[in-house]
Amino acid sequence: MSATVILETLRRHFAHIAYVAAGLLIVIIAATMAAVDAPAGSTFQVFSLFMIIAGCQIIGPEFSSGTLQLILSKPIHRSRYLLSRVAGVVLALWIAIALAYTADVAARAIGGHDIAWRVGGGAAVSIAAEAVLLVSLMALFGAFTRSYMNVALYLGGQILLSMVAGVLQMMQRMERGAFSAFGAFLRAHPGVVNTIRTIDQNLYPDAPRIPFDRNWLLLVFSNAAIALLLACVIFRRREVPYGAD
Amino acid sequence: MSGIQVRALTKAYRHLGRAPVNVLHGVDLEVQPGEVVGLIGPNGAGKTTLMSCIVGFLRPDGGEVSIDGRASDDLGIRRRTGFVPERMNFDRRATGRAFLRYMAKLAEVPHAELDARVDALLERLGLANAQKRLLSQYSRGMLQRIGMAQALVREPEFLFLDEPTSGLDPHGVFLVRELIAEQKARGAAVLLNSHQLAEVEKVCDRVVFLHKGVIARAETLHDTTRMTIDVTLLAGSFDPATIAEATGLTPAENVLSATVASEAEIADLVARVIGTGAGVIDVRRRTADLESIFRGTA
Amino acid sequence: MARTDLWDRFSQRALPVWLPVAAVVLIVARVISSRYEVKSPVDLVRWVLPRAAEQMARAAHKPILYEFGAEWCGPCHVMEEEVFRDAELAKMINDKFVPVKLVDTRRETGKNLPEVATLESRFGVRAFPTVVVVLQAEGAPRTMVGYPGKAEFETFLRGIP
Repeated sequence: MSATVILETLRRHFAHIAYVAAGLLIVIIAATMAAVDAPAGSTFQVFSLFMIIAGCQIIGPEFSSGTLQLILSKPIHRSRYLLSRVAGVVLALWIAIALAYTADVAARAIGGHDIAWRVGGGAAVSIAAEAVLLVSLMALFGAFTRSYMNVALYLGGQILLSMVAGVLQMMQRMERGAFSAFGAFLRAHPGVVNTIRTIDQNLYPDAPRIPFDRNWLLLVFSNAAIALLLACVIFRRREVPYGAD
Repeated sequence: MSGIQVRALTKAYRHLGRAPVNVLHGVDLEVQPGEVVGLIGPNGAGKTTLMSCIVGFLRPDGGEVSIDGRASDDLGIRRRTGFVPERMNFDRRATGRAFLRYMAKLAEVPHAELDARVDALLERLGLANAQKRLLSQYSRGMLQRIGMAQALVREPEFLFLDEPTSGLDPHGVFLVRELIAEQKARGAAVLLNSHQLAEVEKVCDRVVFLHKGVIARAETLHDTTRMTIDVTLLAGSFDPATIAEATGLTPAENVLSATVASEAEIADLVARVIGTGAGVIDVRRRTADLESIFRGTA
Repeated sequence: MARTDLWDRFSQRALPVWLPVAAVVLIVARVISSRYEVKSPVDLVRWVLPRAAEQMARAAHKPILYEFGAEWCGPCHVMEEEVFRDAELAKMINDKFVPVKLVDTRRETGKNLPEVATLESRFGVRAFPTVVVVLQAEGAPRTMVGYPGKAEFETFLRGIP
């Protein structure tokens, strides 16, 4: 990892008005929800879009703007650069999560509400882990695309998988009508639907039911590691022509 | 140090559903330490592709690129390389100083020397007063200069410049010219890609003409081992036969042209011409006319 | 591009050795850990009230899963511990069915709530636990009497379309 790249990534976030504004907004939302004793951990449901915006800057946009050529003319490993950018973005997100959680706890304490350390802390840890996976996937998609295609791939994949899984599950129950034959096929081969659902759960896992669910955390971190490994493998071979955009 | 060596380089661009487009067809090129080589050619000739392959941004399909005997993306070579892009793009919310410090850290400039090196470069490139301004507030010329500064942050031995004077005012152009001369004097091997033929003539030792992916022509600009001189004679003051007997050369109209190997030979030739009684009104060393060569080649 | 530069740390294109090692370690840990299920102290199934179940099931095109149990029923508690507190199985039940929990109280109070009595009569429930799955399509409900163990119960649930 390169501390230089990590710190530069953090600097870019803290210097960006959007990050500061979004962070402030999240803290205010967290404090307000905690003040009215909303269920512990519910604050973090607003984080997804914030994480996507934070993670979309990795590699793809740098390729298109010409920044990447400047960086790669310096003596830094491609993988080290990519992983350091990921680490920087994850740290920026963790700082926002920590601030939101602190605001949540403080508001609950001030309001005399139950702090629910286990549930709230579990939700904070879960969203922090989810940030690692999301940013890793953004890095993977950015490793072979340009501009902000990584966001399109991430969101498109999420919507598509969810739709396909839902439709297939519905068809699986059909015993009459136009799709009954296909439904019978799906019932005979439950692996088809299970495969789609497994892919969906591995890329876009639902929040864990139990705070600090060890298996869930291992699923998320192992998938993030695989995504980062693939990202490094793709990026190491990628050509970065300048003057092409 | 063996400089930059390119042998039989080929490169094609491949796009899905389309036939490959061959851009480079067996290019040979050498840039020795202390030499400045200019790369010129029409749009689409493959200059950008060639430079990308040499710097290591693109993977050639065939042939070989080596810098001091190693691959261009070897980290040891990267430490000794400077690259100035045609368009400087970086996070616009960084200040000039912050950007240069970041590049210096990436270039592994020792921490103890970092600030001194950055200060010196900002001063040299005329950006000391603008160092605390954001890059978004820099003019095109200032961005070009800071792009030059980041390439020089570690006193590179191999310097690649893509249109370094693009967008610069005359002062900036002189500055870049001086800097290139300084790098050459330091012994750096410099490869320069430019459309500014006048600048290329002034700074380069050799020029390579790339056309449709091949080296169409190579011209040495300042070869002091072989000079062509034109001696202009006063009309009516000379006898062509006498001149021919004294010098072994026949004047064309009133201009006597000769290829000499040294300045002493120039003086000797002029003395012999004057010794025949002819009036000498001008002695000029002929320089390569890049524009006419470019027109003839492109 | 030479494959030898994959691990050549002097090449800009080299991969860090620690990354694939970390990925393998995490995958192995995940596989091993998944053998030891993480249990919740509470029931994770989102039980629906009997009177709302049929409408919900029609709207969601899901079968209704009726779980008949009793406080005095030991296997019912084992099933709750092993199935309804298991994150993965509880999630599957919540996703696939409209789950309804019915507790027989005749031993404690001498009578059942009306909806419990009606449903026990409709499905001929005589023992506990009994799980009855009513599909949206016509056909006999699928029934499981007694608790055969987690694996078999999971097979029973997954086998329902």
